[in-house]
Amino acid sequence: MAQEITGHYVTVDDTRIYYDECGKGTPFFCIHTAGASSLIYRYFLPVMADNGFRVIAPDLPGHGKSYPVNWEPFRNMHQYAEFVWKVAKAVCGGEKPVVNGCAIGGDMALDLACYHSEECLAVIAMQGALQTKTFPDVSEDEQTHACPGWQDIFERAASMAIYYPCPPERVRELRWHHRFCGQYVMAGDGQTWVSQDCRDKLKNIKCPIMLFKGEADYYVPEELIDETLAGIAKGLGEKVVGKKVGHYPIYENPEYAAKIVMDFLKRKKVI
Amino acid sequence: MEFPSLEFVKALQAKLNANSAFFTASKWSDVKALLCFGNKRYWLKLYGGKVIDVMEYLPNPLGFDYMITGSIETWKALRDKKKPVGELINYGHIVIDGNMIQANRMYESSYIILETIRDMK
Repeated sequence: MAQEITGHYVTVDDTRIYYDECGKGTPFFCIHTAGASSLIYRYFLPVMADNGFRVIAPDLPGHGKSYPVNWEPFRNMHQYAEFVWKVAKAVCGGEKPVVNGCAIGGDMALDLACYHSEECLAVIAMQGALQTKTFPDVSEDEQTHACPGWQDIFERAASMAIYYPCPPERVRELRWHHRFCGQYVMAGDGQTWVSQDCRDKLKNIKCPIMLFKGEADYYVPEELIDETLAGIAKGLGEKVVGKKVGHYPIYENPEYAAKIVMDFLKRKKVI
Repeated sequence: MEFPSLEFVKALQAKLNANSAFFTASKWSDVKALLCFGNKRYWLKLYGGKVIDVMEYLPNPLGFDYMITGSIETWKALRDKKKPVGELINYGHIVIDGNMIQANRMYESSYIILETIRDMK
């Protein structure tokens, strides 16, 4: 039977943050995708818990049941990552975590590796790269009057980037995951994606890091993954291209994503 | 059926008008959209969940609100399923342009139009 997911809150910089938690053991900290919530990890958490981790997935500020910081979305990836690192420190109880992120979470995980890798056991950056100017500039689309129809635009941006064929009910669920986040915050996430720039910091990475790309994902071309890998010290970084998954491997095929993560952590002797 | 052609666009109209998802996505439409397949342009009038008229665009006195446009090569890539709709839009191979307030409001219906074009024989 799958281990139970429980809901918790923590306050960081006077901001109330929600997180899901599952299992016991080494902390495995999961950062979600743009415009979504911890729900995107719903199927992944119990699988990783069965692998012996205490798996933690916060709702990013302004998403799901987490309040925004100072009532504003983040629009810069590094600032976003620094806040989320405070959340990780607050919920990991002094233990070094494995940090895992997907999409904007993947960019964020990479940013954290650049600045905090000595405090991480390992980092898994799914669909993240040194820079990701692969999405239109949505800075003018924060307000509803400027972009009516945003909800459909973003749901399509999410649900089209997965591997097809995919069962219709899973596509419907993925679209639903993107209805918990307002346009204002979601457009902020879009800006953080294009603001990503770790080019000068990759050399600072000191822990094992896996760069994972789903073969059907078109937001992170493989060349960007290769360029990222080239900037990381030899022996620490690995690239994996996942088969029959797209932008959301942890949602599309959680068992497969978990196996790839576990194989990597074993290869790098993290576990 | 020849692609692109008025015959194709009329068949597209029939497919869309039989699609309940298209009806839902365009129930409160009152817009004129232009489909541009390379230099061949077709005018569609969307109203109340249906495509109520189509014609070749020369242009006509009513003009249009927004266009969905791409090169013939792009449409071929879509119809041959070499590239997903999302990728073609994200990287600007298929462009939606014009009155973006109307175009964005009607985004879901435009996506259904694109998927229908992709899947038509």
